[in-house]
Amino acid sequence: MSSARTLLVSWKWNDLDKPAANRLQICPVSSPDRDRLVRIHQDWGNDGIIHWLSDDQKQNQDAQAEYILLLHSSYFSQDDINQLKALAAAMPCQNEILHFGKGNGFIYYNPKTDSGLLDHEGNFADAFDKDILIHDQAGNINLPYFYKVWRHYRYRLKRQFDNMRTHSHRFLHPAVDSLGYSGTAVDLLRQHKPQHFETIKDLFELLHKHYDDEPEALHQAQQLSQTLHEKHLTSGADLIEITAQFDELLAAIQEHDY
Amino acid sequence: MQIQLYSDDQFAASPLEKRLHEQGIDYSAYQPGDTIRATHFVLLSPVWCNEQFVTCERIWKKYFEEYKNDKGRPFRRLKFITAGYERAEHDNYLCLLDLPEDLGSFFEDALPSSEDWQPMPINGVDMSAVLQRFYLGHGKDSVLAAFDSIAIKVRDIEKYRGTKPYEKIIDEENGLVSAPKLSESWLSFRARWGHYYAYAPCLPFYTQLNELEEISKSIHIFFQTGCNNVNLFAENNLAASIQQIKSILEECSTYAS
Repeated sequence: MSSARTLLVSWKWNDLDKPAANRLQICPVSSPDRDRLVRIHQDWGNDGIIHWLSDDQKQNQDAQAEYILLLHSSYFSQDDINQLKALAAAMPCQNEILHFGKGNGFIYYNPKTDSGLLDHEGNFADAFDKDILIHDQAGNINLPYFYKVWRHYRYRLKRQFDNMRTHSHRFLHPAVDSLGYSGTAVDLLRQHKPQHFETIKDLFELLHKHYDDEPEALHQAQQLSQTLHEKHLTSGADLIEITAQFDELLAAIQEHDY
Repeated sequence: MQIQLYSDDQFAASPLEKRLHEQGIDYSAYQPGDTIRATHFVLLSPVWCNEQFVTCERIWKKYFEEYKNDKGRPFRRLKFITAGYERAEHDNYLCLLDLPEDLGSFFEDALPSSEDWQPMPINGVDMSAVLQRFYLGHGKDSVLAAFDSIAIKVRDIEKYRGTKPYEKIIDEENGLVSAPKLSESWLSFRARWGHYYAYAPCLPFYTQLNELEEISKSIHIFFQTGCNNVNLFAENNLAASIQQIKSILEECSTYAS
């Protein structure tokens, strides 16, 4: 059994927005890995959230346990996030604290990719739309819905690939055009920008490990990898093919925003 | 023709610089805060800023639409060009990997910033959205509204401090201004501002934002010490400084849409 993954989502949660409710609910995920989604009403605020996290990780006693806390940006400010990050950094668990909403909305259900968990009103997306199957018959969250959201916020792979596209171009283009270097992208990066090289390698590994449900992305990654290994670069124009393949890969990763 | 070239990465800009040099086109590097003295302004996009790639061409375009030269006259012929690694054709975009043979003609044919066109979209964190989040806030208060409440209280202190004892003005129960609340409002503004100020170098109004930062740092001590010391209020020229910050915030807010 691997370590538990906890996705804590704090926003307005309509059904928890009642005086009598305890405003927190732990929703199990239909997975063998003790994954869960914790719904916590935004009124718990910073103090309530950090206490819950502190208590939970003590009970958990698992230093490998991973927590992602998603806090809605209409209620939690950047100061709140910074404060929570500072407090959580001292805890012996892996945790990440992020905003969602306003430009970071992967957690909202998207019918095109059948991914995401929430509607825009304060509910799970399947609360009123019974064609969406976020929960199974036993009331557990179906793993694919949980996992796609988890991995988006955990790895932000699309953004990382996009960053590496620009970082590598910013080196390779002047290297071949101004400095007169030649070789494959892999050769040049390995020799002159080892950190970029390692990052790209890690990104391909992450993609293979965590995106096996996206065959088109895997296919495009393979194409790109092959070109990075084989295409001999002697001028900036030789990078056009690499650019196009990065774009194909970015288009294939089914994440609709950053 | 005089080109000013803004790239956060000089190495990345070197192939373009080489071509400009080869074709005898006069260019200089732009650093955040420099005065713009050019017929063409080229921005390498995206810009690496605050540990991420951001795109700010829409903001720069809007800035140049209204741009006035250092004599205060509108400079409607200034041409704004973006350059990047996207494969696309656009009158005001240079694909760095496939530069036009004749750069001079490209620059001649580019559209002036005052005309109605949209810059080439480039991947990255959209600074227009970041700026909007700064101004609109997170559902609690817009930054202008939050700052307004600080400005009103500071104005009240300024108005009465010559005629009333300072202790009475800030008296918790009967005074005009609650010192702890004013201090808290300022600290909250500073924290919010600090987060967004990190993006300032990629913006055309960096000078104004930098000025805001400097003023804000210079008066911070008054608020940090609980707004209890009237000497700090007077010495730091609080009322005028707050007005300056307010007008900079208002001036730059036009770009948050």
